[in-house]
Amino acid sequence: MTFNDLRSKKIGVLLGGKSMERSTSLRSGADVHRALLDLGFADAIKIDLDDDPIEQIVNSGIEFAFLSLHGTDYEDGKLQGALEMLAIPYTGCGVLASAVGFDKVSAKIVARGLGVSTPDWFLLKDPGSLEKLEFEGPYIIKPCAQGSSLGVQKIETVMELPEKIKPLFEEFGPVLVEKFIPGRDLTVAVVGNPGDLQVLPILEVIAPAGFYDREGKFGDETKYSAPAKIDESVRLRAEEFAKAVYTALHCKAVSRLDFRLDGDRLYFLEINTIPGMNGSTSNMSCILRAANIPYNDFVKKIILDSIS
Amino acid sequence: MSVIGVLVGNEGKEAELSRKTAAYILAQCQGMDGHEFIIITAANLIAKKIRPDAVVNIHYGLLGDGGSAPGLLDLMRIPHTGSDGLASSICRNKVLTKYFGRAAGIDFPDHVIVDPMVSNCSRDQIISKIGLPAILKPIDSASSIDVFLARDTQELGSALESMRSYSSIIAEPFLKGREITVGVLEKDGETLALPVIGLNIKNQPYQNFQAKYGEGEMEFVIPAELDDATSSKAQAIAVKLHKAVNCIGYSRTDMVVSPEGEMNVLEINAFPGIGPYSEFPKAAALLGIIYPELISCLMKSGKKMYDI
Repeated sequence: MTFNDLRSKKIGVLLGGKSMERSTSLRSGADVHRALLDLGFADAIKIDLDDDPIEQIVNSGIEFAFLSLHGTDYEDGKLQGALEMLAIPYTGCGVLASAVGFDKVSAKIVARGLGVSTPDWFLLKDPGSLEKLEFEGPYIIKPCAQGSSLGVQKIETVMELPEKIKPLFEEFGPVLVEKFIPGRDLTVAVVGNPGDLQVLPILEVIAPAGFYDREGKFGDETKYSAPAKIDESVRLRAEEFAKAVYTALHCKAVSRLDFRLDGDRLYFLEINTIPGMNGSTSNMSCILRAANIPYNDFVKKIILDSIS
Repeated sequence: MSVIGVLVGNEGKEAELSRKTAAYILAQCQGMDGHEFIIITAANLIAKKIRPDAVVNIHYGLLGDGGSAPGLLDLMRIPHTGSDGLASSICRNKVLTKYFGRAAGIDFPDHVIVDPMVSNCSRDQIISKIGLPAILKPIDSASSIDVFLARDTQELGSALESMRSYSSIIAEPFLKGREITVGVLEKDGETLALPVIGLNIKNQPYQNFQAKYGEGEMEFVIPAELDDATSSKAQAIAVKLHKAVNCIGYSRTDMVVSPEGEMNVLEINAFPGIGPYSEFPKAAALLGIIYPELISCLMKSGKKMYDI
């Protein structure tokens, strides 16, 4: 299928859904939909997923799906698997990259396997197992499988952990306790497919809290700098690490990887296999501006790389 | 009474195999615990011709990354047996399996990842890092059809030539030793290793898990002729790997035991065969777990299966 063939087909922007990242998704999806109309996809429709996404997708008659969704069910390989079974091609990563990428511990295991540094961690499968924690604070705690910095908190001492973990555990399930790394937040977008990978300008996120929590991510006081003012050697290493993880997970079309930089030491934090794509304030939109890539061109490239 | 759908593959050889298994499950388990077992396809599920209360998933998933059928079932909120998309897709990727296994303290042979399109460069890399004889296999193929043994540089060249259609392949040292495979079954909340299955090769030293090569005959021996210490070691590794890659319900791990008694894991299968001629049920039977009980274990360990 070529890009031109696709333009005459019914294409669905899948968005919204029941996840906790619904609002982020709606904004991304609206901008993607607008771009598709600009690109000549006259029959592009938006599909806000409800409790029965399979029926919605089947009934819509779409022949291609642009995934502008985040969170559980949509970014974790389940929707990707379902679309494979429905034989409907879709944008971006497949089941493997989505499932491993969404599970933060799995992504860290892969990074470490590749020789990419990642902060020490401890996965709490039940809240009572904290005595096995072997490293000292401060800590970052976060749900093992959620995006958009949901629930992320910095905890100074081991004493405070149980009371902070409890509500997180009750809301989201298994909690990842990670060693807090002081320093700077970098995010690296990789685009393309194996053999033709491109790393876009690195973005530094400067959050008032000193680390990137949910308020930092969506608040007004966060500043962005792209390309990030970092040493050439750090930049090259960040690019190398990002490409290594992207390749090992068999990512497709686009992913965004978050790193922490402490001095000249770089730590992989997580990978977002469906990065937020709203055209004005998302990390991705900052990166695209720094790269001089028009938004619509980027949407087109995602489609091209997804069908190749 | 609950309706249990036995989900079979849609087409090809996979469908044929899974249909035989499905017929066997129906013959052995019909009426078990008051359940009605029926054979279903993904197409029937999607078209809502049938809505089973739960699914025994024997759709082995040659599609996508191997986690497609579990993804569909999870998204449709249908409880099912066996691994989810995360574990299924990790198990299908030979390199990621190593990373997860090594993180849990399991030894794996070294490997190099090569691109067969640049065969000269790949050949030199394999010879210098792995040496010959070497085994070449696609990183993420479920079938063992395209596994090659290269005993000398000429065989290595022709193997790389034959594998040009793969974007990435993995080369490992060819390990001499006894081939075994160990089933793992979750039963009553415990993760049990089944008796070790030995693989004897007649007439052809190279037809085995490492390299299905030539026309020799394979013969399975249950339990394998190993001393107790070696068997226990193999069983412990299989259980550890099952947990490390987050398998659900059952799995089967292929290994080579060197003449010195060292174990090297080759791969783990998240959906081992459970058909009338499969080895897994025979190994379970040695522990007194008869076939309907085996299926019952899978149903009880499946995600959210406890509700039915």
